[in-house]
Amino acid sequence: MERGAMLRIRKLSVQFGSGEEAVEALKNVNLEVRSGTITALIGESGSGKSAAALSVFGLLDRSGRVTAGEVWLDDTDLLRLKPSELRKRRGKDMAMIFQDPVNALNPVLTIGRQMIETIRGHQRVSRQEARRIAVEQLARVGLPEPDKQLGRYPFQMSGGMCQRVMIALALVSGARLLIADEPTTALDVTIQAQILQELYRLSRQDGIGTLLITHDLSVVAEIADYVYVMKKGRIVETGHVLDIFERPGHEYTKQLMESRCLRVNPAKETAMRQGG
Amino acid sequence: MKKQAENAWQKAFFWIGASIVGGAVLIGLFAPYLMPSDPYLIRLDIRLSPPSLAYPLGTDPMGRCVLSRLIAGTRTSLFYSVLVLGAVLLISVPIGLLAGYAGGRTDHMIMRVIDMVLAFPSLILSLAIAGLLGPSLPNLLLAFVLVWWAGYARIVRGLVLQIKEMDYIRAARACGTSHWQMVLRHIIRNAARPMLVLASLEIGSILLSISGLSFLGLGAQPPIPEWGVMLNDSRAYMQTAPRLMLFPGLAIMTVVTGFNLLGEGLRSADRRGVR
Amino acid sequence: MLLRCYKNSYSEWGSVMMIKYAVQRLLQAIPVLFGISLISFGLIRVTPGDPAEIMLRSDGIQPSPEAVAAIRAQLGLDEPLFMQYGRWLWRVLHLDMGISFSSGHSVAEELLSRFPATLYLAASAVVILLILALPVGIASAMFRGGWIDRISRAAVIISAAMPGYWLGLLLIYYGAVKVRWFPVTGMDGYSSVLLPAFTLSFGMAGTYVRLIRTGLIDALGQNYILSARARGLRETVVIGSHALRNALLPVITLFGIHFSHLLGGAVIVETIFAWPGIGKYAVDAIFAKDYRVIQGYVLFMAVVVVTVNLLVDIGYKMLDPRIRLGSSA
Repeated sequence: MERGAMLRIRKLSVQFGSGEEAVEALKNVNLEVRSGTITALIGESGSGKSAAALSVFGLLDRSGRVTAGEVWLDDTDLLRLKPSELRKRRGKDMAMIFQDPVNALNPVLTIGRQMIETIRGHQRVSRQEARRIAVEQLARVGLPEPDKQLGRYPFQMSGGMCQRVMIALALVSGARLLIADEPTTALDVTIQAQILQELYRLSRQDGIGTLLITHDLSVVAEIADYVYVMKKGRIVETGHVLDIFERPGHEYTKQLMESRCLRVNPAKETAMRQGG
Repeated sequence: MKKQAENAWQKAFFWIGASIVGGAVLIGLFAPYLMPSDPYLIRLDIRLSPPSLAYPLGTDPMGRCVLSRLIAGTRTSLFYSVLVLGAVLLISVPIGLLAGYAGGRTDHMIMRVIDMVLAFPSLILSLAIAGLLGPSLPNLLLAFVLVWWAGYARIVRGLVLQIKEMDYIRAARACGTSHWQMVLRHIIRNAARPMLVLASLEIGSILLSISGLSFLGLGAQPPIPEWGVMLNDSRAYMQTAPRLMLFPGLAIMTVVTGFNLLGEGLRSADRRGVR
Repeated sequence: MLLRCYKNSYSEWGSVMMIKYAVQRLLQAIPVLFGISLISFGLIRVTPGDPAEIMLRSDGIQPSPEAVAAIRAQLGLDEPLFMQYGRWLWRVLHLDMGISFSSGHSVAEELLSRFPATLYLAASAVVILLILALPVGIASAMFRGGWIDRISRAAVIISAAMPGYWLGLLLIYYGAVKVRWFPVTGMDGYSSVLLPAFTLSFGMAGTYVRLIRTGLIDALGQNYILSARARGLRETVVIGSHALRNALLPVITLFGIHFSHLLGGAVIVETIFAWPGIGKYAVDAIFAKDYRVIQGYVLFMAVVVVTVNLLVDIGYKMLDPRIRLGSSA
């Protein structure tokens, strides 16, 4: 199911602050995500991974600026688009899910309300139709009793369920690119596995191209196809996940691998990889 | 860089406020020397005259020099506002301290009383007390003190509760500090600064309220030169001498702004950990 | 739009917790009401002089020693204080607050008949307050550090320092005398409420601008806003539907206190604009030394404030689904 690259980030440089206090968050970053695959962007906290994701969406913090580079989504450079154009693509062509799913949902609105709002924001459908789509989507991500969930509030759901809702919300308008920023960090270990399984299924079955941002190597080992290693805003190594794990090239990558003392050869042990 | 601009603004505001307040205090202190005429001297022959050399702001309906009355009013307003503030603090701080520190039933009882007093709109209660006692400045001040102590006491109590939870208090207690020492040395010292900030912010309100009820006729009685009273007097002459409305109100607004700026400046300095 | 936002909430409001909470608050209010009545009762003792003499004077009768003695007996002034209180409370609960000396009518009747005018004034002031503060507050939050933010900060300082009575006078002068757009005083026609309501709201406008601004900035910093933007929602929807809703909740909680200030401010505004409300009535009563009216007024206003606070409390709990439905998963 692999096709050409959907997302191509070329020579992206991002700066925060100005004048003397300027910090270079990203420097000359090159990155590709192909549809139907899961590409991991790994690095420590503060290495600039989230900044990369937010730059794609044009949602950098007020103090952040793109100083150079291009971000190609299929055949459009997102950075050259007008803000209103970019907004139209968000959700429709590209989607993002975040770290703490319960907080990423508006606490005073029902799930249904937020889903219908998103659906109707991108398509001209009636409220009933939007409701139907919402139920469908929630079922698609594996939520039990989807029509009941529509009436519930985020605080009434577990972290895992909320993350599923987030995935549904993200993909409901037909996005092919999904950026997942630390999607499992705030979840219990057992739930982590479920969510990762969900992401894996989406990439293989529905052809979604996923950029998985994480600091957790075990997550990478579970589902990623390609890996980019980021240190202090620069990509220091990239390659197929098996290569990276067996033969890490860069010093930093080696350090990352070594700091994981639990599993000797994670690639061999992951059931997912064998299942395919 | 933006932060520096912000700080500059805040500092500027603070100094503007401080100079206004300083100026007002000076005017109040040296009032007798600054006034061009006697603020009480009634001269019906020159009533409502426009500004002139002898009377820079003109004369009021009783022929008194407006400028002199304004200056004298500074003294009145400032003095009585500070008096009220002082009295309120004198009552509310010990009560708040007691409630916060003692906790338990004492706290509970005190809070009940405070809640009861606070259930009344403060202006209305002061109005009623002042009205029942009889319209005069001392009665007004008493009315304010009787009403305003409650809100303050509650704030002091809140502060004490906060401070009580801090680690250094526990450390002090572990060292066997007596209650008195605890209160005096630790709690008051830490509560003093936020209280100071609050007090400076509140003087403005007190001033406004005193002038407000005097405007209604319940506070300072003529012939005392008070800004609120002067405003009230000007009402009848809105058509003929509208300038009379201008100056007392301007004076009130300026001084209150000065106090507010001062208070705000202190508050942000406190937040930034200055001094 | 705002009501439609909360429509979802109402479909589930029959929660047991809510009813429990409402009852709880009601019960809590009772000791406060009790205390209010105590204070109101005690208030009249504050007046210097013999209460019996005062009573006679305020009824327009010259106090001769016999009359005083008679009154003392009649009012039971020689009885222990708590019995007098009990008697008074009993009458008040039957809505008998005595007779106003200046008008001869029942105090309760006079108060109740004038209250709607004050309510009308206060409500208009709230509307104007929102019209003024919401746009400025929202703009200040959205464009932090921009020119609107700076202006709003200056405006806050000015609105807090400007004496309401002065503003009122200025407005009357310019609005009614010079330009003749508005009636000078009194309540007739729709435009007559504008000047007084504006004066009343102005003092609080600054506070509300800052409140809205802070609340909105807080809300905008939350993750769900980022998430909403990432979904491609229009900015108007993000701010209007998501951010504001969360930002305004805390503002609503403060409304109870602000309403109290509003009622206080109304006294002055009503006096300046000769607005036939309850505040003006009270001030007139003070000068007429109509003590029963003053007492009734104070009691009445306090009860109103407590009631409003109660409603705001319960209403707020209903609007926030987290509180309304409890944290049951």
